Amino acid sequence: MMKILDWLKFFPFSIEQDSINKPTEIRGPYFPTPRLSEWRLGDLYFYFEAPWSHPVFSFDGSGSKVGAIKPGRTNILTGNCERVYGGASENWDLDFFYENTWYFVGPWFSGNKASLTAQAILVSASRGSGFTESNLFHPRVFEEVIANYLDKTYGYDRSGKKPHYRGPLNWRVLPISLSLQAVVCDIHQIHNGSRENPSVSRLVFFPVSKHQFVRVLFDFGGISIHDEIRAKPLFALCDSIIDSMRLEVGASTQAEWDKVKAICPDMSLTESFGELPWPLIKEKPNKKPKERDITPSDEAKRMPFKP
Amino acid sequence: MNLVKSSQGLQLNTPGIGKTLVFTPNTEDDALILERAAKEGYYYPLMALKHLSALSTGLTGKTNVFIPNINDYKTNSFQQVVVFVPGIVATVERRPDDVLAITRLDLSDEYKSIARGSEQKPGVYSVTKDGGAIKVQYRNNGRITSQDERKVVIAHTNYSLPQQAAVEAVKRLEPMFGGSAELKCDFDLFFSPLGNKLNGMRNYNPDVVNKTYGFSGLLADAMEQSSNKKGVEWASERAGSVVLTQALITLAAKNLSYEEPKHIVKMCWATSDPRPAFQAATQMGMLVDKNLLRSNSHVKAALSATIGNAQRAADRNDPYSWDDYGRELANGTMATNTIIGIGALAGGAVTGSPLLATVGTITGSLGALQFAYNKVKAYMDGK
Repeated sequence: MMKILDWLKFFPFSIEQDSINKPTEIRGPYFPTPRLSEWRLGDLYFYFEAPWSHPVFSFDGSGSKVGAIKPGRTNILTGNCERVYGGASENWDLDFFYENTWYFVGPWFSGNKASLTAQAILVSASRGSGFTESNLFHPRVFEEVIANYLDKTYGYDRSGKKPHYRGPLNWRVLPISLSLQAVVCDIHQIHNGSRENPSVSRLVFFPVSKHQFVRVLFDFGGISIHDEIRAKPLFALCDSIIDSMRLEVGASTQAEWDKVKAICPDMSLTESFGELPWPLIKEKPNKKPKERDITPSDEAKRMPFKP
Repeated sequence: MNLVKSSQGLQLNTPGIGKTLVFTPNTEDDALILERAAKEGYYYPLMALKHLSALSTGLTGKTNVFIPNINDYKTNSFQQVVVFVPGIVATVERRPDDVLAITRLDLSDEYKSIARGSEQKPGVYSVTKDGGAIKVQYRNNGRITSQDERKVVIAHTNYSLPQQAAVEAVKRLEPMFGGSAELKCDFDLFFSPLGNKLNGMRNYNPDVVNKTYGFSGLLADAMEQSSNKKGVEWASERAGSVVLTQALITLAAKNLSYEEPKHIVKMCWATSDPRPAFQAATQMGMLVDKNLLRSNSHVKAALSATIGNAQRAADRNDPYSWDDYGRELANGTMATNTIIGIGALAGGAVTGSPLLATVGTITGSLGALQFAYNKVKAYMDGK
């Protein structure tokens, strides 16, 4: 009987309720059938399967919008995508071309309880970065490039004196085509000493030309990995999308790849990649602090706790 | 902060320093849970113990100490106060020998469930965008980023994760601060994970919502520390208005002045009465957003907005002018409010007169007539 009403029980509508009580059951996306999506990158065609995303509706402002960005049929390599900036933009130009969010809702209109966000950017070597000379199809170069990107993006954030992120973890090679391979890895955000309870993001990298690669980021909305009810379906959806990824390599890119293969017989990426000991480069202690402590020294604002 | 067994109970303060602070035997078990949790590094118990042990310097000057309105309050002899610390309420008695005895301790169930190094700490987070992804970082010093014209969002109280609060705040940046803020996407977020939405009539008066005192204390602290920065914008989102109002009232009670730094106060979709915040902010010389008094859609707020905005326009120091007032009346933002306002005013003027009662009866009897007519009609048709 209840099965019949499930379409209503898990309808993506939100009447704002208190968030103290954790949901015992979540469901999503509303139309779970995976649909094929296609990205065109030069003569490469990248396919993956993901369900339709939908917003969570509401009358009281507690709903959630999707705010999807989709490249459509344009060639992403030449298309004018939104330029974004961040840690890695020192060496790389970042073009933001895809974003989508899948919501998981609680029963009886309790609204958005968890969400999976996918974001993809095209990463191109900046002029004068040194990477314009090298060829990303070479497996060793690609590994180095991923390490460089991760280091620049995540390696220099601090929480106190400790690193803010940990990674790459769970490195694996994803065979998306006969020639080009992708890499999947996790980054753990471990600030506040939450090493055992990190917030995870999962990243996918694959090269698309001699100087460009694509980074897909899956963000779990900071959900605790120990929260089984919510984390399990999120990770299942994420992995189903990652496993459905495949790439059709066009003739000219294949020719470029073959050229590298001629000088490098083993074109396979490394099967394991250790955690980077961040920070790789120790910053010099800056004499001038970035922020000045303006608390009068005689005023003990915050007591240090010493048991 | 070790608990020491003494003749009066478990002693919290360092013996020999400050006032003696003890847990009475009936609260000892809870006190030990609190202590163990604090030692394991749990955040709330740590805060609670810190707040409680801070009482050893006396009750005066503590903003989280309340004297309940009970009859057995006598100066200098026996005094009972209630201390709000995040997550718990403690009742403290001042004994004649100046010993502070904690006679009641209400712990919430969350104590054991909050994981170590939890990402749900209340406080200030800085939010940036990195390559399209939103990045949230807790600020260990509890202050906003030291910058002129920093934008701070006081988040809705119903979010369970700072990440979630940040994502929603980013979506609302444009109505709150304008398009350029959305483009830059670099702001601070004050996160208060109450897990409640705090709307409706019960929470209309922000002074009495005691569930958020702990959070507003943190916010007031952050606001006080930022008074050397110019033009900081404090904008609350939905139930964040309660936290912001309480923080403003706290600061106003301390007689601080923001005349010089000219901080700005805004409320978006406020769930509580915006007037106390307005009064506290103007008292301290902060600039108040022109829409502040209209930020709550409640009828009571609408009435007070019509009157309050007229007062604002009459005040020469306030940037809100008669032009604004006229424009809002003309384009209808306040028109419906005004009609409701006048109606309610008329109602207020004749309270006790039979007019309202009569209106009620008339509508009531009209409805009854209608109902009777339909009944009769159905009966006749049936025949």
